[in-house]
Amino acid sequence: MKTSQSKRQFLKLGLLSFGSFSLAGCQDSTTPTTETVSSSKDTESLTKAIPFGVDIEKWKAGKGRDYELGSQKMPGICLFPGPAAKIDWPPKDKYKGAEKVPGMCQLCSTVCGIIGYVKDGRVLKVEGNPNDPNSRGRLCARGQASLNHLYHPERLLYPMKRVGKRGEGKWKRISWEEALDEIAEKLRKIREAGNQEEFAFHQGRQRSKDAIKRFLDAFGTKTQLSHRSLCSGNRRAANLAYLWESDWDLNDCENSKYILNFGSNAFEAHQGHVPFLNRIQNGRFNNGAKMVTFDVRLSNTAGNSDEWFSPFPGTDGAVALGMCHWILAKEKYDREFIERWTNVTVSELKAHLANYTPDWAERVSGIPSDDIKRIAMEFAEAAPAATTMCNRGSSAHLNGFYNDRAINLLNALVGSVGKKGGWCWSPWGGLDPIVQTPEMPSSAKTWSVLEDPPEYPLANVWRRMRVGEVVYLYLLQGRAKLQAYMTYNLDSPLTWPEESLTQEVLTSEELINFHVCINCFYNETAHYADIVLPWTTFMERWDLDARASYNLRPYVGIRTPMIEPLGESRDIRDFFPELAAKIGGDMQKAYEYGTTEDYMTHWAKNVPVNEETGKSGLERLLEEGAWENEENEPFYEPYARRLTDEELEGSEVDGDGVITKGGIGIGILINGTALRGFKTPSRKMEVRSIFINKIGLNEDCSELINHSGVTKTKSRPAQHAGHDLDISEMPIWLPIDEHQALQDDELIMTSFKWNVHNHGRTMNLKWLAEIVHSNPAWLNTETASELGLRDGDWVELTSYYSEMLEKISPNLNHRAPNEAGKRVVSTMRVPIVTMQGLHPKAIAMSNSCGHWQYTNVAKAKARSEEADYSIGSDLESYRDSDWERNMWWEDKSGGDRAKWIQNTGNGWNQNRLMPIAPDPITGQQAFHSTVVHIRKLS
Amino acid sequence: MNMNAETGCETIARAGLYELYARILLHEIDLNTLALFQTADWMTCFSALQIEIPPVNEESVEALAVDYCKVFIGPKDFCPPYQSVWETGHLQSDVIDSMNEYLQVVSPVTTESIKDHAGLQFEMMAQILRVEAGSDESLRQLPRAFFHDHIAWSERMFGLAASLAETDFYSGLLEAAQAFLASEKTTMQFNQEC
Repeated sequence: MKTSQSKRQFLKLGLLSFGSFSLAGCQDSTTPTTETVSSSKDTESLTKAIPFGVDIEKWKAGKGRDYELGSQKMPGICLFPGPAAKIDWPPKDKYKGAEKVPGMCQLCSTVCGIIGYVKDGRVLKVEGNPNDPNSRGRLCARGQASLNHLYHPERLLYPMKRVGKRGEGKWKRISWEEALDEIAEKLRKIREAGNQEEFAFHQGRQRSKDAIKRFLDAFGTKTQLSHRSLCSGNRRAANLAYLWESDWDLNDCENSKYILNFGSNAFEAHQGHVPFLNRIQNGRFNNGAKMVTFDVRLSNTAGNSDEWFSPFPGTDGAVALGMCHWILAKEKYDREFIERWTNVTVSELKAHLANYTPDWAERVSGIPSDDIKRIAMEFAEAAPAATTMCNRGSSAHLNGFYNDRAINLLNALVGSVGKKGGWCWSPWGGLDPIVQTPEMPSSAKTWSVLEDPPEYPLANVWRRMRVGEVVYLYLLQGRAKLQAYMTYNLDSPLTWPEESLTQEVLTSEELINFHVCINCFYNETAHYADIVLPWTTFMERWDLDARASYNLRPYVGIRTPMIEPLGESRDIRDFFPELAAKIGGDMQKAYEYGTTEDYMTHWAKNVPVNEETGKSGLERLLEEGAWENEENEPFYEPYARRLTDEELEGSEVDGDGVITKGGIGIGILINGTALRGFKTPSRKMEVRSIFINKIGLNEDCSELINHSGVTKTKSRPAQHAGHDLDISEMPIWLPIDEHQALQDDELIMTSFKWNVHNHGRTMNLKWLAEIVHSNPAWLNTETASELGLRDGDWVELTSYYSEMLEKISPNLNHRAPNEAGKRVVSTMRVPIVTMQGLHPKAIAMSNSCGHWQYTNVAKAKARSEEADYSIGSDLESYRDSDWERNMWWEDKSGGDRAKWIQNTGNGWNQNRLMPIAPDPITGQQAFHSTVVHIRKLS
Repeated sequence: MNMNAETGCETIARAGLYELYARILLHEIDLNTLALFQTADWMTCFSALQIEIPPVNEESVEALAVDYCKVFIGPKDFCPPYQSVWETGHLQSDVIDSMNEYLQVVSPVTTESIKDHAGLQFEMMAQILRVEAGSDESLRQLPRAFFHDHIAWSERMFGLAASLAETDFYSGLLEAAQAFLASEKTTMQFNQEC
């Protein structure tokens, strides 16, 4: 109100407004005029004429006491660690009467069981659920920050529709009805025209596999895109080539005596993170296991190991092969296991590994030959309670598939495969198969180059791993068309390589006609959407969920809505049925199971009764949070199980001893005994994989597949014809061309995760962002000295495309070389920190940082860009002003490097420097192979 | 005892203003509302308060909807209309407990799932003032208590909202709201020190 305006005018407006709005319906009701109201002498009759709802008696009985101003407490949920917090923290009666509601975290892929303390419809605290057999009640910092996620002030709470140009950032709120109508209309047209493959569903981290598959199969599209190739494609493919039945090695570290770690940072990240870390430390401190880590960077895992070695990037496989050579040379192998349970002989192995000597490995990796020999002997002597472990450090390379094949071979040589304390796996990658969803629709039959790029032979053979990083490039190249694109918990502009290309494609309405984004927050992907749908957090939705458990047996966990979804946020389980009904064409038939709770009841019905409580099924899970069938023996040495007479009835044995039934492999005859064997074509652990070579060359593999018994596996489809690749049958090490002749000012970029962040979804959580919010580049002290650099100096990094891929994968070449003949990806300016904990030829930057959307916390902005206030900055009444006083890491340099203060800001998106670089065999993104040029900035 | 007609009329007017702002905070402006605002009486008031009302057409409604979203919905650099956010930096703080207690007494028409939404609180304040205007002496503490607990916080929110708004309509109306709340503090004898 302007100071010149009279109070009278303002009150007149009030009189006009009085009773004018029926607030719930947003429609006008009565419209009294100034005259009618102001002339009224009987205000009592007027107020009584309009219905109102104040319960006078309740007021008198409750708050009707004399009110003392200032007595109202406003402590908030998240007082810790605000300066005034100690006044009320911890409140003594905070948890009194709170209900403990089970759930499962989803702030990383480990999905640890959690318990929410819920009181009066609010979650007061989250802690680990001790009933979860995998996580055993432990919960990392990310999980503890669940409250930040749930109650974030910048959560998406309403559907929004783009106004103006895509990426411009202008929106308006729409209703769910409007949103679903518009989406349904688009999808219906695509479906009715028979172009179902032109609707792509692109997921980031997802734990509602059944709900997504149900919708996509009902619609009829197989264009389901994922990020697996940006994560674990090589490791999975390497495991599958040996085992076929599992893509996930579960290293039995708790019972181990020797843990040989190649590039895994299990203490901070890793898909198994806390459950795995817990068992590693139990193995070390309760079982006396030794842990040796090979990692380019001194991660917290490396730092906590008994020994750490820093190999030249991408040479883990060479170190492993050097060890294999030495184990064979010193006759420390397990002959019985090799001869009985692998498909190669000792002499074949010796011949194959003859040139992979420890001295050769030293020349390649820089790791002293004597150490390679010593560790090889220690590993062999500890066997069978000895295991390797690995992850992206070895596998996210252009030669990553071969690296992991070589590492796994160590376990075969010492016979620790499937043994207690050794290198194990389980066939249960997720839920105990005892639980079954209501009937699913039949699978979609479409094909899309986006989902199944023919250039990558092992990407989709055993599992649909896809090659996520090529999706935007292929769209740009016109190799596929998308009429509708639905993204789900995905932040590809930040977490994908070639940030600029991703943004270019997401901006183009020609390349992506219609983009619906489902997310809890406005992230970099949502910025390029046409419609944004507010998604529930993992504390507001249903799932049955489980990971491959380190107990080597399956379990069932439950994710439950601890509270009602905030605002208008909804889960796909809730709105997909409605969307399907709007699309029509019988899609709704896939949803005839009833309500979501009916669905969950059906899904969980086979969870048996707890004799103590008498509860079973969903009721039991809701009380306990998880159930593990302890009658299942851990999955040790499954290959040595005798086949039963019933299994053998009607079977045949071929010349190699493979037992088949109806042409499908079921076991192997060993010394006259019918055993289960491995689920591979040879029914043995396939050190030599004829299959991967034949698949690479597009040959028919039907017979091999039948012998494995894994009949879901297929030969490559007709669309792959002409895309042949010669894949080595045996584990080898492959040099990366451009790594062999690095210039003095060239380094190999490596990236890593922090113990408080995932790749792209946690920097908005203030408890975590306060701990890590920036990512200057790590540089070895010696290298820095040679380059004339000191701690805190700024450098310009220029990244190059792989010269090796330029030849092997011409499908990726979309940028012309510069005058020097180099194809440049991008340039970035960053400060450096120097340390000894990094290989001299590497440069390391963490990911997770550098958001340009995703809330003010992620951007390290204490204030809004347009106003002098920031959210929650009411300095007069504010008692925990994290958004204002406590965001000490805000970068106030305004882009001026001279004014930048170390350990402030929101960091840099390291992926901006990354080229699209899939391993040619599996499509795994080679996040750690990129060569960068470094230049000091004055 | 009935309050006198002049005081009662002013209370009704104040209730009306709370209703108006509840409407403004909870929903976008639709054609009907815009048409109402363009009627002579309303225009006179708005004009005197230097608040511009755009013409009654779809374009205006769209422009106001975009501005409303930018100010109150987001997706970024916006002004969450939730008391918890302003006082604790998070949604759903202990403020909700207090709101739940008041919701035992006051029953707003609006069904807003987040209970400390300023629009819901303004509607409740309007209800309370109606009762006050109805002159039930036993309730004289209620408006004061509710104002202190759940209305006073919003003065600065309106300041931010006004600065974020791009349309003259919202910037004028939200700026006026800030001034209105300042005057309400006086009316309620609200002591900022407490």
